[in-house]
Amino acid sequence: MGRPVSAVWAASRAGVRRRRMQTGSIGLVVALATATLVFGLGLLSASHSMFDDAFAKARGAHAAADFDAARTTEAQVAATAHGSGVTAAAGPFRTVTLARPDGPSEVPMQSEGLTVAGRADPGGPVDRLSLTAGRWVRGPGEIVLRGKPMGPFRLGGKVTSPGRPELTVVGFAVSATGGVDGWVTPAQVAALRPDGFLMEYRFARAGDPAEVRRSLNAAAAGLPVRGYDSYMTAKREFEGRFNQLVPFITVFGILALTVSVFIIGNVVSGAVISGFRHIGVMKALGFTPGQVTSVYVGMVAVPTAAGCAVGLAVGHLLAGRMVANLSENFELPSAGGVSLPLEAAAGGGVLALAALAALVPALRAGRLPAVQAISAGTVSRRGRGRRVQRWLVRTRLPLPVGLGLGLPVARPARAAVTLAGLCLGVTAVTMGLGLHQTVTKIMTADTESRTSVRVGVDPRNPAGSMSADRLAATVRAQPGTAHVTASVQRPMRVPGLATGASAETYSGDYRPFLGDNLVRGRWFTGPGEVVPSEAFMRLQGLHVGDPLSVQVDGTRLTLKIVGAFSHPDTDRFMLDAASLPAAKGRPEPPLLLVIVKDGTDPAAYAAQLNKTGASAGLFAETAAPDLADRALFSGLFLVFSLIICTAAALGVLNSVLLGARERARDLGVLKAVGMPPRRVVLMMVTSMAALGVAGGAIGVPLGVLAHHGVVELTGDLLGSGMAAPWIHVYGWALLLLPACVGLAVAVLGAWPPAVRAAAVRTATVLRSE
Amino acid sequence: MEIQEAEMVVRLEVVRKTYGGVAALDGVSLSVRAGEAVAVMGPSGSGKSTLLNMVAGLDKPSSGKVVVGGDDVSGMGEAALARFRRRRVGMVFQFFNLLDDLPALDNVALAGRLVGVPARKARARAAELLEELGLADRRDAYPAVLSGGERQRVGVARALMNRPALLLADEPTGALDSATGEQVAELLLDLNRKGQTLLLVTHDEALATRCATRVVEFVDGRIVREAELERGGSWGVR
Repeated sequence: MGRPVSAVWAASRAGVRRRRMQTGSIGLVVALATATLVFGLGLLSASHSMFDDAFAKARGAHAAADFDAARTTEAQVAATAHGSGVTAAAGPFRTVTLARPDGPSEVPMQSEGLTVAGRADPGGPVDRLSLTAGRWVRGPGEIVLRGKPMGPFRLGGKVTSPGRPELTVVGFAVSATGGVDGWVTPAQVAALRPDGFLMEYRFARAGDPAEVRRSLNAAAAGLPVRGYDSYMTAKREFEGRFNQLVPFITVFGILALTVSVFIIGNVVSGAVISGFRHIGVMKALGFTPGQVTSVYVGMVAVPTAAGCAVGLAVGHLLAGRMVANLSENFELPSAGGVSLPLEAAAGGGVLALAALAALVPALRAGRLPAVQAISAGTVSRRGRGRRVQRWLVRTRLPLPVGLGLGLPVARPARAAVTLAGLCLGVTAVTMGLGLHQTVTKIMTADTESRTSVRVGVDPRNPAGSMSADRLAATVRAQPGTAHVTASVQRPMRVPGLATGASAETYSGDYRPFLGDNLVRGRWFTGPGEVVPSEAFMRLQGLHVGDPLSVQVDGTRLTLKIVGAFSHPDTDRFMLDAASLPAAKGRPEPPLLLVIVKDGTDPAAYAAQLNKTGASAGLFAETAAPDLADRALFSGLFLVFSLIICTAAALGVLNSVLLGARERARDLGVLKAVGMPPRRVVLMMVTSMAALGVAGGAIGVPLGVLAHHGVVELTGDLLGSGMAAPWIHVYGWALLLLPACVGLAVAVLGAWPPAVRAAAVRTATVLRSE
Repeated sequence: MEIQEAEMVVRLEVVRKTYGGVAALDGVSLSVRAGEAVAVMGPSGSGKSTLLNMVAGLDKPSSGKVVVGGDDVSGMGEAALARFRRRRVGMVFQFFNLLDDLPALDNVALAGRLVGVPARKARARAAELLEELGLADRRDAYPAVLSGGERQRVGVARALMNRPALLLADEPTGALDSATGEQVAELLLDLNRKGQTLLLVTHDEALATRCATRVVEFVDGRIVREAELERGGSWGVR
């Protein structure tokens, strides 16, 4: 028994050594495909359970309760940790809400202020914090803020609040629990005059908001709770933002899986099929069908196993990094990438797939009589293909081009598989480019992203009673101002929305601020017109032109719907401020939005306005758009496109490699009759370039269709609809690039084996034949 | 002397070729004059095919000089060698080496296309050659359906396509039955009579003595015997 096994092993090893480039390409393809698979699985898994994973890993609190320090003692609050239904608790942490300072602040603060907790360290049994930048607080005068550094929100920034000591930002941390905006040392918080206790709980039962409320009531055991943050709120907030990306990530994930499976199947089975002739010879020497099968499966198994191991490691790192980026982007603690069982399953799947891809043709070869196996290893001898080849050679095309164009015809099945791989690559790149454009447009389509500088009035400032008109006049007088609009949020009652709605009113020069996010109709141009969110329109079954009765400050009025903008929330309405009656009582201070003139630096503009407008009690901030999602998506797109294109190029390389091996004699003959090496290269590259062009021609329209489908589906799933400019993103330039990708990938993939084939010594080839 | 040099189609000067330290050719010097038919004979591994590869520019000597038609082949790069092959020499192989995906006519025309002859003209010349070689009715047949002799005649037609100064034949009858081999030998003889210079590598003494005007015998990479022949005479291979 030992000898046949060693013969099989020796034959396998010899095969691996003899076919170094093919062995290398199998290893590389499997590594790439495995990495893509793990990466894709990581993204798919993240898209469905990222919050839950991050929440579990950080042992997030189901509820963070705020107790009034004036009505409870620290001991009483601490005792709630042992309340009924509490499985773990952290705290009490003393808290204080720092009021927003007058005028500009280096650290963006909500109008309700910045809630700070005294916490000795970021670990603990509940709500483990992850530092995203800097370090944890060590002493007085230091603060760690929630989130990550961004724009003016950076390490070393100062947090100032009237009557409180200044705090320096030494770190940023993310938490899976809400309730607190920053952390200081327990000693520091005592100096900030705390007025509350924060307790963080994990409950045995916390499946829905009602259960969280019941569990918290049971734990508090009658102690007065000033307010609490449920993890459900954070989860919904996360899902609201993340769900927009889910369809895109899912599509990319599925594409990555498809490409992986496809390329492995193609390359591995191709390697075995190309060995049919050798298989026939082995059988003639006395190898049994089983041994022959083992030799070929063994030959493929070595690079497959090595590639799989490398791919798992690379995929693990890539997916971990990507999930960490995603988590960081959504201000969640890192969920730690792909789970090991999932990676093990991916590795097992790749090996099984490769084994299957090798076994099917190897078994078929095993069953073939030796003579047939030998003849199966040569190129096709009959059929329409030959007529096409003959026709191509007889045309006026240069000979290498004519011969090259005929090569795919000789192996139609292999050419079809290679073409399919190229199509898949081009489709993915086309769709990816389109999705990238779509996401960019979505992120920059709203009013906020068109604004360069925001100008507001501090309501506590005595001068803050300045009217919107006077404020606007002050801003308009500032050099560099191009457009100014005043935006005010007004509560509004709308039939069908029990919780009320928010009217975003605009006055002044508002047209340039209205974005490209209209799903239907047009923007309002004056009083009496309203543009609701598309989600509201769908919920109510309304159409453009329909009247809408609303109630503002007790006054009923009817507005005309002239359009709808893309938004998943049903309670958003945009309209001209003059459509609504004047606000009763003290009006909400307006927020002025400014677009600066071309060439004006928004930061310098804001600084100047802060200087000149300080006496008027106004402050200006640059509107730094949050482009993190966009950067993230660009990164995703780039990584996927590169992986998919490389995999497609390797498919081409494999195809040329197999073709060159099968046609070694033909190439030798051509060289012997005087074809120079560069024309041999041209011929081999032409054979794939033709497929590349065809791949581009088929893949681009498929990619466009897939893009439109995915974007429209996303709009429907979110209920927000998609604005036409977000769907029709393709211009000629954007279509030309992926069309060229097919050709480029084909040429790049074909080049190395073509050069290699052209360099083979003619005498050797002809002698060995 | 100048006239002699001009008549010299092939000149090998102390050519040595080694493969992994083993000498396939060991200091061989040989000349072939225009119009000559030289047969190279010898046992397997004696260096005959290596010699032919050197002359055809398919392989380069480890040392020494190979001059064909006045061009020093040993110093040429790959592109120059390709040009040399398509202009100066025609090769006939033992196993025909036709392109299986092209019919006979296009296999022959291919050599013409490589030197830049337009497709239509190349096919016309190929058709003429095939007619001359008695294959007019087989011009559209693919190699797989041709007999061995027919394939070899297509191979000869391809070799003659560009009117080479030198026709090289490597065991041209080695894969043929005796009757078919006889036809091919007759064809080569006829070509030489019409002035075609021929360098022939063969095991077949009958072929050598029938076609060649001179026979060179190789053993272990060296010329051990060389003699002018009367066609149809005896050689007596050792």
